Amino acid sequence: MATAPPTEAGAAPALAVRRPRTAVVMPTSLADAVAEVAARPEALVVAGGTDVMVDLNAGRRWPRALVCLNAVGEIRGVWPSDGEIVLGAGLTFADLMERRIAALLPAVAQAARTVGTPQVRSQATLGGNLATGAPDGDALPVLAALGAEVVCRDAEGWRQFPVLELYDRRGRSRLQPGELIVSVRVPVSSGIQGFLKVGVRGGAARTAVSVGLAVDPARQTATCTLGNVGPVARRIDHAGLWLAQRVDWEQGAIADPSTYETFARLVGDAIAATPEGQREEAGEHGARADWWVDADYRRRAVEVCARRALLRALPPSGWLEQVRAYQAKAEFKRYARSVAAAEAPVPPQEPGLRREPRETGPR
Amino acid sequence: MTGSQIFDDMTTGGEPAGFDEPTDVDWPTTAYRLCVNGVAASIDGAWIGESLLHVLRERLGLAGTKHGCGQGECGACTVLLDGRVAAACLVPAVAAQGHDIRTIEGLSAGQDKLAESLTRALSEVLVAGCGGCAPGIVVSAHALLRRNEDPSANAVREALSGHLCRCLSTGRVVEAVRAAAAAYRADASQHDTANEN
Repeated sequence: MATAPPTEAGAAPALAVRRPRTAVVMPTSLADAVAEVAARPEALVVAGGTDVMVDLNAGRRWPRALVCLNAVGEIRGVWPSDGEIVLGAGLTFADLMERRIAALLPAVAQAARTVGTPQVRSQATLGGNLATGAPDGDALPVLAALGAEVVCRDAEGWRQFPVLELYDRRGRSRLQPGELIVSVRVPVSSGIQGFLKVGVRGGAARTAVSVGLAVDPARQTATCTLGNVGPVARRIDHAGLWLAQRVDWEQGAIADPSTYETFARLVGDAIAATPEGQREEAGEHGARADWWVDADYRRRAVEVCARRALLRALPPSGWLEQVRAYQAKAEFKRYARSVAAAEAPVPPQEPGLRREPRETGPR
Repeated sequence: MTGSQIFDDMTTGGEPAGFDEPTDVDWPTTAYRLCVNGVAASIDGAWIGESLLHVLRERLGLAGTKHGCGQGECGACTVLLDGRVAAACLVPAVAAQGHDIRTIEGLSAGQDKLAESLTRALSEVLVAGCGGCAPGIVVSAHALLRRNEDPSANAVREALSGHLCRCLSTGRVVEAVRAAAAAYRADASQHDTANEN
């Protein structure tokens, strides 16, 4: 506030009257939140805070005002309706792991379970993950695979568009200033859907790459999306179209076993074709390289994830006969006996009579 | 060179890159009330961007919650917000208004048998380590055992996946949490039989 705001030429600069405005607002309704965000363009909008607080703690950001959205109850609901589920933007990833969402949108629950640590999942919100737009965010690829649409609101009105249109090809947000993500509408399909991700830790894994695959037998379509292969998640349309032609939709299986490898290569080739503007960071195969995942590794990881996702979604035809033939072998019967022995109930022991192996040996 | 000289050199050697406070903005501050361990606490004149961890440690003197990484990776700062685990370093303190905050002090001060058995089991296990991860692990394990009285080793591993222990006590911690669960169950059933008689 060191300099006065520009005024009309000739007019005497108005005396800057500093009115005591509260620097933190916690609106409790969506309408209030939209009004507050519009009235304070300088404010930092915080939902769960798990992304911005890292910057604040490190001193990289000094907000002049905060608008906290975590008291807005309206955007924390789940509304199942005809053929789709509306997920409020304020739902945390812990909420998204819940049983009733896992039953209808298993890929969303899978993705939610891989986000951060339990401590982060209980705070981080779906809308925050979409609005932050980190290339390694996990919400965008999985929602794009399911064909979700995002509902936004600003002071002027409502907007609805496919989630992938939240960002342009270089990862710049298409949200207007002052626009808030309100909810995400996800269609429910009877097909198999899955989300796979490669990271370095079992918990709190940053995404190296992620793959979302949704198969819809009713419309006979397949959709494949990739996360963290570029500035923003991408849908690989030609791989999905190609796959849809190779599926035996009657049986929900794949007749030609080479389909798995070919599909994986198609997806890998797609990230090799790097969009304009990122050529300089492209590696040998053209896939994006960054400070911790090089391009070759990224391409390889994408191929493995795509093949596995497809194997889980659509088994090779005749798989049931193959399983039965294997079960008839002596090798399997030996294995089954050993499993049964290992899982046999242990006879109950009197409490307090536990063996203490350390005490028995000589000291 | 004396120890204090070394310390002076370290402290005056310059702040980490990027850590320069803005000079053109007056620091926006705010006042609010938090409910920590069931007690209302007034915070006054605090910068709006302070994390809950900072407020707990520096303003309220509750140093049991540890500062590890400040990025939500390590789990040392775990507290309970309305009974759910949260990384205090990633919660804006102003956003914690109206929520029930429980820290390690609140869990271990009362007559909480579960926290007591957890602390005992973990202190037996963690003797060789630095203990920096222990308060967070107690809080997370407490939340887990409230949900699930008899967790499998995998359930414990998933619930504690957000905790890093650089002294490599991970395997022993899982055993300790399960032992604490067993001890707590045995204690509870003893109480039940005592009440019946």
